[in-house]
Amino acid sequence: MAGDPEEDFRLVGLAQKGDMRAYDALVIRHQGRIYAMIRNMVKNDADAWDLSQEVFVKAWRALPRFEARARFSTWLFRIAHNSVYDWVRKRKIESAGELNDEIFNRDSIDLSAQTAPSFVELPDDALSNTELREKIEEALGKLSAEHREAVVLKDVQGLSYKEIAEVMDCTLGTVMSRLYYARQKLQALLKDEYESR
Amino acid sequence: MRSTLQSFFGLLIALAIGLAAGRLSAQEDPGRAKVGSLVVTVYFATDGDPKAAGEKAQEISEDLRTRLSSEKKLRFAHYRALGADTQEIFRSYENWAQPLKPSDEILVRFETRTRPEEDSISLDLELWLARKKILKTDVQLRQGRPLYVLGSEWRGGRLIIAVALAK
Amino acid sequence: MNTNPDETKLALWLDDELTGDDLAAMDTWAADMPEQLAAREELRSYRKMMAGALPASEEPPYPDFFLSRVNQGIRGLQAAEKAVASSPAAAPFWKMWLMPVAACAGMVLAFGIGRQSTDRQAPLAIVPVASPVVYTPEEGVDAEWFASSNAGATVIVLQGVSAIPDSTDFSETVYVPTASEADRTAGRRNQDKNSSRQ
Repeated sequence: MAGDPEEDFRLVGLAQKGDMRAYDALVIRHQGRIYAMIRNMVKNDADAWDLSQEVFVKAWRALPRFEARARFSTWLFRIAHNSVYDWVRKRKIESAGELNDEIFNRDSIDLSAQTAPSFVELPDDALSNTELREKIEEALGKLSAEHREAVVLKDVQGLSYKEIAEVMDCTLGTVMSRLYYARQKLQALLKDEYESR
Repeated sequence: MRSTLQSFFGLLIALAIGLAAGRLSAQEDPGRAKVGSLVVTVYFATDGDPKAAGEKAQEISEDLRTRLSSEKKLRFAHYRALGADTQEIFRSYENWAQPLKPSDEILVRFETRTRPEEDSISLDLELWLARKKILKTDVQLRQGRPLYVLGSEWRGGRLIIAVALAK
Repeated sequence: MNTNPDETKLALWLDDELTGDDLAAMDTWAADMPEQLAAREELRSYRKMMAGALPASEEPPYPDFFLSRVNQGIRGLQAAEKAVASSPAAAPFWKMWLMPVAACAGMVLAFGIGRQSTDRQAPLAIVPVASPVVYTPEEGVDAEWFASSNAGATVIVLQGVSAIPDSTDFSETVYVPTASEADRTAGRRNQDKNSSRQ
């Protein structure tokens, strides 16, 4: 799933010397994971799209300071983490405790609306919403940002505990406790949904 | 921890297997708050016979005619309005305008990029012609300052797609 | 391993993060504990299901446009850095004398270009607009944008778009605005006092 770290280091080396095509290659290699991670965090496609671009612009600016001690992807996730939290703070949402759903709406077209075009499937979209994905995303949306991020980074992105601690700038113990709590909370939320059927 | 995890996974597997169709009950959705309205109008512009636009096509006002013809690229001898559609601009959702409804020959998809200001909104806009995405742009629309797109040729003239904030 | 592992080691083992001797030791410890092994298997199933339901990688919409926006952002940063580097505070004092002269010359040049681009004797209008990003995904289609002070609008001219067949009929269009309605919805110019500026 993760790209070849050595190839990343090679491209970073070129980009640090001003090779913009090398940097474009890095963007192309990592935009999918960054976008997926941010989209799971902010839910709104348009904001996720904007924030993802912001990550790569910030990464370019910080590139001179990147050292090959950690994976480039982990370093990018760290920048993504900071960007998401800055975005959350700008919306004056409390990051501690549970968030409400207000900001984390999933961007979608209401096909029942009269405004929808006559063709139901939008030509260029590749929506792959399964019921399960919707349920899980809905439940994730009810976690606090820290808990959601722990689950997204571990159970979706496959990062190790150590990498998650680097990205979230916390201790291994904190990662463990957030993950434990988040998984428990997910269970409770999905259990409620299941029982209401 | 282990027993809760066990029941959790059992639950998830059951969900994955036995999901019934149906959506979650609708909840109030702040993303659907309306932040403005967009008007998309299609004009037929020609140096030839304006009747080619058809009987239903309407003449435009003298003010609008002066405005369009003041710009060299949009200057034609005759203009006719072919159709228009007004749609709401939602806070967090995209929307579509279909000015020549029921025809989907021209569609405009739009959504807000940033929080709207008092008299302007920044939009991500897509113009679809013949079911193909032809143009994508981010545009800031102000009251009284629309976007004009000089588009396809048709019946000896060209279509001008006007996108404007409604009052 | 005779002693119970600490919570950290157990968590790492359950999440398949241990390797080498640590993993071997934990595997030995758990060998006689079917509930631990079952828990690890279920956690594996859960992670597999999560990874299947939520993709780790999802191409952003319009990836070409995405990259061009990133490049645009980088160019903006580079321009800002250059502006800082060439600011008056950064310039040697002798350049400060030349700058107003150069600025005047630049303005005269701009006026000249401005007059030539308008085809009537309209008051000169300098339109400082933020340039939008314009993208045409269809091959063969180009778009040119400009801010029209004459029309008081942003204009995009498409070239290379396929013509609509003449046989296509729009006579069934549901709503056709009247002259006054069309004018209203396009925005009245006299309400936009500074129509030459954004």
